[in-house]
Amino acid sequence: MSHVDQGILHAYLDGALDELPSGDARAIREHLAACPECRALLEEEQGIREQTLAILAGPLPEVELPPLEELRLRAEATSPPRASRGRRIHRMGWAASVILAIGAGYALRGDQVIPLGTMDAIDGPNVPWLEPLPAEAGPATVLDASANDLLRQAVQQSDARADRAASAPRERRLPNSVIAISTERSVLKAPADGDVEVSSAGSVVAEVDSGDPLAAELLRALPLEKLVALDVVTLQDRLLGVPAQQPLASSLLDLTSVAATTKRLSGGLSVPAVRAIRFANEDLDEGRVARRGRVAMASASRAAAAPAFSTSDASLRPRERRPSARRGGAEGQLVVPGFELISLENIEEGPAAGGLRTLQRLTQVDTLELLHLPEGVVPGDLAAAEQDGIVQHAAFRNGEWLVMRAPRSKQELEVLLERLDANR
Amino acid sequence: MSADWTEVYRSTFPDLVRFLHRKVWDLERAQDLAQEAFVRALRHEPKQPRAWLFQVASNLARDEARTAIRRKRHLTLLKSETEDRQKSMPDPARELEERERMGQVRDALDALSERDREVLLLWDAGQSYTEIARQAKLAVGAVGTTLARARRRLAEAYSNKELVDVAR
Repeated sequence: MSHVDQGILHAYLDGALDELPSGDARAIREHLAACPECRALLEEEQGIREQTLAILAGPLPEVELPPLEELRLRAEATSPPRASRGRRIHRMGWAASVILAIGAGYALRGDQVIPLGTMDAIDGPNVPWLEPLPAEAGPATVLDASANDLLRQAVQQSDARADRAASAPRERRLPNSVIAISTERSVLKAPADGDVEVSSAGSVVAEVDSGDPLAAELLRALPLEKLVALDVVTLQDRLLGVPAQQPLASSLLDLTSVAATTKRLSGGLSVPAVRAIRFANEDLDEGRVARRGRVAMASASRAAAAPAFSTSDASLRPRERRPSARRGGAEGQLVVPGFELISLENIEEGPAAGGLRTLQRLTQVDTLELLHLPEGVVPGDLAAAEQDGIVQHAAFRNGEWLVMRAPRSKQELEVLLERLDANR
Repeated sequence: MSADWTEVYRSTFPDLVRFLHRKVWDLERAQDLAQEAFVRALRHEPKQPRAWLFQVASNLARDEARTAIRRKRHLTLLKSETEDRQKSMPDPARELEERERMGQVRDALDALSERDREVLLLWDAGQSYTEIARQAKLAVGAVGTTLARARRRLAEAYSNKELVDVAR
């Protein structure tokens, strides 16, 4: 065989020959034994390897091992609360795991977060802006002078804060959520010397406290449609404007809140479009970085019907109970014709309070559960279906969600939904 | 739950802190981040906890770095570390020496490209070629080559630094 290259020599020294896909470990070992040239090279590389071992060996900091139990408690404290008292509708973490498993994008309408998987079920004229983000690099974006000034200001603030944080670690975090303006796979470039230029993928240019007026100014000035990502960072369960008692553990709930936050941040501004909000909570699936949940946001100009940037903060206020008259109106609509109605109840507890639930008999053993969620509640707020084999199908109708659950295929549920719609 | 977390914790936590320490250069912060990584792991219960933990740790460190201007911060940290150590360490001369050495290691590591540094630190923390490849998004066959280059650069940068320091 030909001489062994440096990379293979290092794999050999690291005992990793067997991990190499193409490497015929035995042939390499035999060659090394027989070839004086390669052996000389091996010795040289071994010398370098040992040098680096010595450099890196250094005094290892003494590591305190906090009790694992403590970390467990922390993990539980930030986990979604479990279902209780036999109620069927509770917040659950399933939505989060779905997000991570499929790594798919999310579309956002108003403060509704719509998993792209269910987009087929969404109809109406407001659909076109629900586009996945481009996977490929965009061209360099050149900022105009005013946007650049603001950005530079933001960068300086970030830097100054980082400096302060270094000397006073307790102030490391911003009080509110953070808008991090970042680029990914694209270059954000300013025209003049000394201006902000970021070329490395995924860099955060600046972080701005969302309570800072500069945040709003930046949102207005930056060519958001050209930025690949705008991070909204949630700090544990402290998210701007969301009452502390509201648990925000599941990613989907976080996304909803992020939406609300962004809505608030941009409230009243004539933002042409927020191309994307990247949900910045790192999450992983089996060691690989799952693509972050992405939220494409409505362009206010293209989808006038979508109240993405309403000035009202309704989503942040406690949900009002729906008048019973309205509920009564909904009753007749929430039944798929042709099946026996077992029960119809108002949902009075849980996040979906104010909604309706019907149960219909599909066959002797199977039932169809239909949930009509009040405005502001998303399917992700619901508890997971309790049995295996139950398929869920969610559709967005007139600003509210309709969720169907039954031991039936997605296609069959769609047919049932059509039948229901035809009846309404 | 499949993984024996007590064992994973005992065996991985120190490696994780070591790995993080060379990224954030602040022991307390490295421990915080390692803990955070474990909290997330306990929540997610990944099937390959070790690889998962390193990936999360790496992301956390990167996020951490985003907010800091490294060099200035480093200086400040060194200052506060000195203050901290003076309380606990009885031998300031030795401590000073140690800190200087750490600074040299850090400067040498800074001379590497980000990916080379990541691969080298992962290897140093005991990750296998396969795990390194996965995390650094390299082919397994490229890990050896990357390590060869990273080690050479580190050795060069470190000895250059020593020469400069001696000359001063």
